Amino acid sequence: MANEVIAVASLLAGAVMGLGSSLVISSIRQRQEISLRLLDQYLSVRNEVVDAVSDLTHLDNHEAFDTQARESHEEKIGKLFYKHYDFLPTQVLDALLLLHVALANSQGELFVLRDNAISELRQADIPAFINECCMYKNAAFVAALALKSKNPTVRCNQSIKLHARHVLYTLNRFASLDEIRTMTTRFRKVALL
Amino acid sequence: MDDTDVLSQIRAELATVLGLDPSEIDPEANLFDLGLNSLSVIRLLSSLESRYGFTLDLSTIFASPTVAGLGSAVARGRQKGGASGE
Repeated sequence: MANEVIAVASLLAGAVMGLGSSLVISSIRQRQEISLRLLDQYLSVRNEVVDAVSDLTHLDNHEAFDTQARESHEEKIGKLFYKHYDFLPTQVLDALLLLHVALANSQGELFVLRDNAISELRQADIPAFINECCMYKNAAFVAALALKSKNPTVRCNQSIKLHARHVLYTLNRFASLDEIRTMTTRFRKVALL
Repeated sequence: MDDTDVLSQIRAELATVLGLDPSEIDPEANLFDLGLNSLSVIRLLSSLESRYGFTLDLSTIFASPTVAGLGSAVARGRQKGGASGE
């Protein structure tokens, strides 16, 4: 009798352990799957943003931006903003919005979001903005000079270039791989609740 | 050395960097419009730095993007003893 009880108990214990381990394994797999999906999604969104913006980061300052091409970029950036509204960090979305405004504007000002409204960047804040957008001193000094050029084409193209570079800056700062890793952890926690 | 001398020196430096005659350089023209590019701007700033012994920063260049503006910034810097361009 005792042997039978031990046998049944062992059988039950084995079944419980098997069930437990399969639950743990499936939970681990689910976590990994969520992380991988998010990373895939992130890399695809990131590529899309970089593709849309990169052409605008090195415009020739002296060449007038063709109106049709400009409108097409404007539309592309506008679509990206809404398409990835629920995925991109706020700072990247803001930078995309300001690039959209710069493309729609022909005077060459720089823009900022202040008190939940789009405003012109104050003159005193422009050097700091330029420094964020330019990796090298050379480019920063030329950008500062170009923004004060008498030629409206130069000013306008420089403004678009700086805003396009600012999108990349925010993407690298606020949507880096490290940030995404933290994000996947947060999502996993939500998924496991 | 007075401000006029400083202005002439900056004009001469810029002329060398751009390969122009100093008389072709309008002191009130924007340096970018005169043809300064990403390499020549650094050459100009380096030569001004070694001549006057202080660094002109981005804010100064942005506030005064002309030869005349640079001249005033250099003059102000020299008066202050030259820790910065302002």
